[in-house]
Amino acid sequence: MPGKFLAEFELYVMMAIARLGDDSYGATVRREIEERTGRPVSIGALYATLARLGDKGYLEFDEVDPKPGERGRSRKYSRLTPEGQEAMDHSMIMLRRMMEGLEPLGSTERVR
Amino acid sequence: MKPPLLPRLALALALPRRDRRFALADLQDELEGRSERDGEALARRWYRQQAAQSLLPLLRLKLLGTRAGPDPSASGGGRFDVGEKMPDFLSDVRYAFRTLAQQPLVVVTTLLSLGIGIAAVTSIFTIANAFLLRPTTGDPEVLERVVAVYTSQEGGAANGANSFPDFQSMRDQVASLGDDSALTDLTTFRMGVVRLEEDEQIDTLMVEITTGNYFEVLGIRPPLGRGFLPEETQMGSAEPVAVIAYHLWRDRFGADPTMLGETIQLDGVDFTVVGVAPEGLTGRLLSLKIDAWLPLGIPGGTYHATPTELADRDDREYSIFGALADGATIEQASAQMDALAESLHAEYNDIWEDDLGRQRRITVLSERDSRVPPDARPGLYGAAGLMLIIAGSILFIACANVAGMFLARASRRGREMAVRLSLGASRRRLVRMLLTESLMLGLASGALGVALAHQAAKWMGSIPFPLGIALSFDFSLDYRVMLFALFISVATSVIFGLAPALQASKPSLVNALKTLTGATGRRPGRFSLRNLLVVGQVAVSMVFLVSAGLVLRTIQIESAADTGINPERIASMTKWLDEEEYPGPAAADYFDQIQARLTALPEVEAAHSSLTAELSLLSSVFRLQVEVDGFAQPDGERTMVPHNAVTPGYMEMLEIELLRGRTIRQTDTEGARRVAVVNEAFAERYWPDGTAVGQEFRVVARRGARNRMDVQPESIEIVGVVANGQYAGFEGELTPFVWLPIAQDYTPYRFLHVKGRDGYGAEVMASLMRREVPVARREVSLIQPTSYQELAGFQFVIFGAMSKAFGYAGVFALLLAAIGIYGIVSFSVSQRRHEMAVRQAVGANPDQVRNLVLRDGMILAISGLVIGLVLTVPLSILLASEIPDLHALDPFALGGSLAVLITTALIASLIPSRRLLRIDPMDTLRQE
Repeated sequence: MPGKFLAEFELYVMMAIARLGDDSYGATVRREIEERTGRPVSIGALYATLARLGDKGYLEFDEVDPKPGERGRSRKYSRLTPEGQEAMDHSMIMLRRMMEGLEPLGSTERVR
Repeated sequence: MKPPLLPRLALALALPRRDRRFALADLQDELEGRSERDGEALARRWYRQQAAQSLLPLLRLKLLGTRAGPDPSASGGGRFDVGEKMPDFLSDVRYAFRTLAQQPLVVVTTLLSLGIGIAAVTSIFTIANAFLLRPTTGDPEVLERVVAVYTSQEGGAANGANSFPDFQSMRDQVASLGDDSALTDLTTFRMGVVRLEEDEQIDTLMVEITTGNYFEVLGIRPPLGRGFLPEETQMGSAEPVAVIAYHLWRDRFGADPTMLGETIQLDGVDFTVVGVAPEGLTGRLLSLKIDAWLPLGIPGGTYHATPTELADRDDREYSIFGALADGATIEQASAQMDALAESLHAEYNDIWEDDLGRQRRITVLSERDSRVPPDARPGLYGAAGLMLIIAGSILFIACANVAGMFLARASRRGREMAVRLSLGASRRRLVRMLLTESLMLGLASGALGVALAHQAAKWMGSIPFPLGIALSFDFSLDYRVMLFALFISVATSVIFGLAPALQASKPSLVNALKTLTGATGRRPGRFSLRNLLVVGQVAVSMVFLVSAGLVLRTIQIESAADTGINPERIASMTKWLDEEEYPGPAAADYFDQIQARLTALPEVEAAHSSLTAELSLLSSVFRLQVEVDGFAQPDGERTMVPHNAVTPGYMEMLEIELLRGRTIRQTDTEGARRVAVVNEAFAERYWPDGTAVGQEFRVVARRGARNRMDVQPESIEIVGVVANGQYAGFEGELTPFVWLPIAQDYTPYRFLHVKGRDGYGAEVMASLMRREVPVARREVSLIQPTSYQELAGFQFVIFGAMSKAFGYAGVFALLLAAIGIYGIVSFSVSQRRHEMAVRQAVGANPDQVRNLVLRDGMILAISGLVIGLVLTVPLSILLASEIPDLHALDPFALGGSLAVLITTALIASLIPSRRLLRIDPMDTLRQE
C-alpha cells in the first residue's frame, strides 16, 4: 500500500490540520508544527506539501477572500478528507506499533 | 508594516499562482505579530529567512509538480523522505554518462568548443574584474571615505597628476580649515622604477614613493611588520625604509619571516625593510603590480622624487588620495578644492594654466571611481568592448555548433524518444533527462574553460611590456570569476540543450515509429534551425578571418615601409643620471667619457648619446613649441613638434638621409650659434618653397617628462633638412621632427647607443654595453641594453597582439564552421540514403548523387560567406578609422579569407558525401 505511506513532514502537516480543526490555514499550521517540533518550517515547503496532499486526495481546501471593503486577509483553510483521515490513522497506527515498548533514551533537548 | 521588497518579490514569483495570495497573507500575518513582539528588524530578518528557505521546495514544485514526492528539505532535516526524487536524478546522471560514453566524439567536440568559448568570455571578465569589480585591498570602511584628487592637464583632460608643491598647498589648506575642512588627511605618491641588487642578481622593481601616511589613509595594515612611522618620514630627512610587496617577499626572499629589519639595496642605497604589504595589494593605477613602497623625502631623493622635482610646481607626477571628514560629501570636497584652484591660479597664474591658457581645475572622485578615472574610460571601454565582441562571438559559435550537433543527435534519437513516450514517459521527464546531459557537458566545459582562462590570465599578466619595463597586471581568478564561469556554463547548457531536448521529446509518434522501419522521413527544410546555425558560424568566421587578415596586412605594409632609419647592429640603453650627483656639465662630461671609452673598443664602429630614440615609445615625448616669424598660426593652435637632441654623428649612425645642408657637427657647442636639423615635413610646413636651410625659428615652450631646460629666447638656425621617416613612431611619416645638438641642450637623461662593426650584431653590442658601461651613483635605469630593433618594434606590439587575437578567433571559428558543415552534410547523407539508393537504382550515376548532397553543404557555406562579407565591410571601415594606415577592404585579406573558407567548406562537405559512393543501392533498399 505505498500510497498510504505518509512521509514525516506530510504526517506532521496532517496532524496539525486535525488538531487545529476549523482554524487551520497556512499561518496557523506552520506555527503549530514549528512550536511543537521546534524545527523551522518554511511557508514554501508547507504550501508545496499542501499541494501534494491535495493532489493525493487527502486534503480539501476552502479559499476565503475578504469581500471588497471588508478588513482581513485571504486564507486557504484545509480540512482532512475521509481518505486523508484514513491515511493519517494508518500512519499513526503503524507508528504506534513500531513504538511499542520503546522509550526515547537519548537527549530530548532538541524536541523540547 | 511592509515586508522586505526583494524577498517578497522572489516569493511571489516562486509560489504557484493559486496559492500566492494565501501564502503571502499568511506570512504578512505572522510578520506583523513578530514585529510587535520582537521588533521590526528581527521580523524582517525572519521574513527573509522564510523566503530563502521557501525557494527550493517551491521551485521543485514548479518544475516537477506534486508527484515528485515529498521535499527532502521540507522538514528541516528530514530522514524518512529522501524522496523518490533523488534516485530519479541519479538515474538521469547515470543514463547521461552511459549515452555520452558511447559518443566520445560528441563529448570531445562539445568540451573543446564550449571550453574555449567559456574561456574566452571568462578571460575578458577576469580583466574587467581586475579593473572594476575586485575591491581594493584595505579596510572597506576606510576606503568608503577615500577620495582621489586630480589636476587637469594640458589639453584640458580632467584626471591628471598633481605636482608635489600643489599637494602641499592642499594639505596646508586642509590644516588651516581645521574642523571645517571636508577632507581630513591627504597622501601622495609617484610611481618609480628602481634597481634591486641582491646576491649578484639585478631586478627592476616598480615602486610607489609615498608620504608617510599612505597606508593609514588608504586603510592598509601590513600583515607583517608595519607601515611608515611619522618620525621616519619627515620631508627632507626621511630614512631609507621600505615596505615590500607580498609577492616580492614570497618569491624573491622565500617568505623569510626574519626579513624585517634587514636591508635591501635599491639603486645603490641601503633600505631597511620595515613591513610586508598584504597579499594582492596592487598599485592605485590600473591594478599595476607594485613591488615595494618607499617614503618620499629621503635626502637626495629616490628615483625622480628628488628635492628639485619636489619643489617644482610645474612638474605633475603625483597621485593624491585623501580621506573625507565625517559627514562630508565629495561635492563639499570638490567645492573646497575649486576654491584652492582659484587661489593657486591667482598666485602662480601661468603654471596654473593649461596649454590652451585656461585655469587648471582640481577634480575629486571617490576611490571606486578613481580605479578607472573618467578620462581613461573611453579607451579602456572601447578595447574591452572589442574584446568582449570577439569573445562573445566565439562563445556564440561554440554554442551554435554544439546546439547543431545536439539537434542532429535529437533527430537520430527520435525513435528512442518515441518508444519512451509510447511506453508512458512524460515529456517533462524526457526533457529533464536530455537537459541533464547537456548540463553535465556544460559544467565539464565550464571547468575546462576556467582552467584555460586561468592559463590565459597568467599569460596576460606576464605580457612583457616593450622596453623591458616591469609592468604587470593582477589578473588572478577569484570567486567572482568562478561564479561568472558557473553562470555562463549553466546558461550555455540550457541554450544549447533546451531546443534539441524540446524537439527530441516531441516527435510525432506515428512518423517516428514509421522511420523505425526505415521509410524515409521528411527532408529537413532549407531554413531549419541547424542550417541557420551553420550559416551564422560561417559568417562569423569570415568576419574574424578578414579582420585578422587586415591587421596582418597592415603590419606587413607598415614594417616594409621605409622608417627612415637603419637600426642594424645598434644596441641602446637609457642612462638617467641623478641631477644632484651630476649637476650641469658634470653629466655631459660623464657621457663624453663613456662615449670615448666605448668608441675605443675594437668591435665598436660608433657610440653616441641622445635625448630620446626615434621610432621608440619615447620618440614623441619631448616636444618644442615652435614659432616662425611671418607664419600665421591658425587660431588657438600651438604646434608642439617632437624633437631629439643628439651627438655629432648620431644621424649618420642611424643613416637618416640628408637632403640639403648638413647634420649636427662637433662645432655646434654650447657657446656657438644655436642650430637645428629638421625633417622635410617641418621644412614644408613653414617654407613650402624649399628654402628652409638658413631660416630661423624660436622655441617658446617645451614639454617632456624629464626635460626641464630653460627656454632660450634666441633664435635657432636651420642648417639641414633630412628625408621624412617614422621618427615619431605612431604619429606617422608626415609629423614634423627636429634635431638639436645635445651639447647645446644639456640633459642628464640620455639614451646611449653603440653600433658594431661588420660582423658584430646588436646582441653582441648589448652584452658589450652590459659589460662596459658603469653604473653611476644613484642613477635610474629604465631600459636595459637591448637592440634598437626591439626599441623600435614596440609599435607593432599592439598590432601583433590584435592580429593574434583575431587570428586565433578566426581559426577557431573556421574549425567550428567546418565541424558544423561536416555535421550537416553527414546528417543529410544519413537521411537521404534511401532516396540516393533509389536514384542510383533507376540509373543516376554516383557522382550526380554525391553532387546533390555536396550542394547542400555549399549552399550553406556560400550563404554564410555572403552574410559575413556584408558584416565585414562596415567592420573593416570601422577598424580603419581606429587604426591609422589600416587598409580597409584590402583585396589580399578579403580574397585570402574567402579562399580559405570555401576550401574548408568544400572539404567538410566532401568527406561525408564520399560515404554515398560506397552505398550499395541493392543493400540499402533491401534493408527495409
